[in-house]
Amino acid sequence: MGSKGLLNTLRSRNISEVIIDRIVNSILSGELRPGEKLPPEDEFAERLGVGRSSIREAMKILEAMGIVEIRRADGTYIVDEFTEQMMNPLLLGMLMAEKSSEDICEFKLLIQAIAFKEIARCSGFVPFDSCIALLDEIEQGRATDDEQLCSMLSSVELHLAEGIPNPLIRELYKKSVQIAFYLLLQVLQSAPQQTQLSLTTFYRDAIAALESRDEKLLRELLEHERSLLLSGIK
Amino acid sequence: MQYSTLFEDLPKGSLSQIIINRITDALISGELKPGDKIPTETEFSENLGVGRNAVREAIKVLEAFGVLEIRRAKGTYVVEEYNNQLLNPLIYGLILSERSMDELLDLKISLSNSVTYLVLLNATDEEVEQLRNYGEDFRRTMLDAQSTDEQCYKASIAFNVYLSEICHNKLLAELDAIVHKIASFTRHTAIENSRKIGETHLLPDNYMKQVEVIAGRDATAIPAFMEERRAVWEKLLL
Repeated sequence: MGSKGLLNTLRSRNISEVIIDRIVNSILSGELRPGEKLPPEDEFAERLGVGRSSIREAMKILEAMGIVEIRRADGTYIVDEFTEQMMNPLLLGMLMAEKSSEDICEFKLLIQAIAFKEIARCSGFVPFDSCIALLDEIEQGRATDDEQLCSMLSSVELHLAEGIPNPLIRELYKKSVQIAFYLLLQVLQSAPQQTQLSLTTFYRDAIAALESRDEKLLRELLEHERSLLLSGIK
Repeated sequence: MQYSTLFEDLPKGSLSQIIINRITDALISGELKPGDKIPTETEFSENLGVGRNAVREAIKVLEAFGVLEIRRAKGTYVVEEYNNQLLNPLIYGLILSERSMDELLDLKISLSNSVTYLVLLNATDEEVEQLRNYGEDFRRTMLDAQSTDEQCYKASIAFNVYLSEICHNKLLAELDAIVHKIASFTRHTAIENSRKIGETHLLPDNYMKQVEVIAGRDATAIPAFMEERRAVWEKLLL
């Protein structure tokens, strides 16, 4: 049915949501600054004329939103920089949307391209050795089933992600790996041997290109993987 | 009695946070779909080996997020149609502008690159012409001394919203929209500054260049264009 306006379930706004709105608006208006400490729970409750449990509930929700940080025995602070905690709430719209396999695959490949470019350009430490070790294990047939194989392949990418200094891009990349997990599993289950080999080969080649910072080679490899995967899921 | 490690703070992410992430993961993978009924509090509690309070808290949070809905006497369900309520990307922009501004800009540019690439691949000729119209509209608005900052801002948004629409990838379009909302303050600043320094043509020229790159259907022209865009943004934002 899915009606858009008049007949949608009416959600009752409880006190906690009103408190959250108040805090969010204070941040937007500049009255509350990132990094600032909020009043202690009991004082806050008294000033607003609400119960402590309402404040506590509001804080828990704001914490889940990645907007406040509750430091035990210290107090509650407005966050002032990116934290991993922000990724899920930020992307919720995207995560809940209806996604076709082609869209997921294409999306994953694009974010991967962004991630690889970052890794090639930055000077930090990238755990290439652990990635190679994982690929060795995969090729030695250590994965007991398709799901574990899929996990191991994803792990290679999650390890590579640690080499990305920009935390927004890093967490986005990790999230894209997660989003594409079940798609990858389907691809592996439908054409296992050939897919596994071409995937491990791709990662080995990509790692070599990343280590030598060869962006041109990386672009070619990504183009090749792109056509392989996109035709594979059709 | 002072215990140094025994009572050390548990890793970031209280129990309810972990359950929240677990439910979100199930939504990502499709194990839980819109309209699905989720397990009961007891089922969660028993299967995860956690207390019911943590489960209850997690469900409360996801209900506040607009992800779950409690249907009286029936149970808790994933909403059919997700609607962003409490989660306003603008606020993340403000928080990130404190210490993560460079990183936000890098993300914006990287995404812009990807969107341009996809539009170049996927958009029809008619859609590209329509994009050109939005670009011309933006140029007209920017060059008109009588326009308000708000009018310029709206014209710039119209161009970018249409651009992400014609990349024909719902996921990327959604992500692009989110990042644009987060970084909307940078757009306001760029428009204001370009008017202050009397170079109102900078942004529209760059947008029209983007249309040309797309219309030329040559992906190798994208990197050079992105460098130009970065230069324009850096000029207008720093």
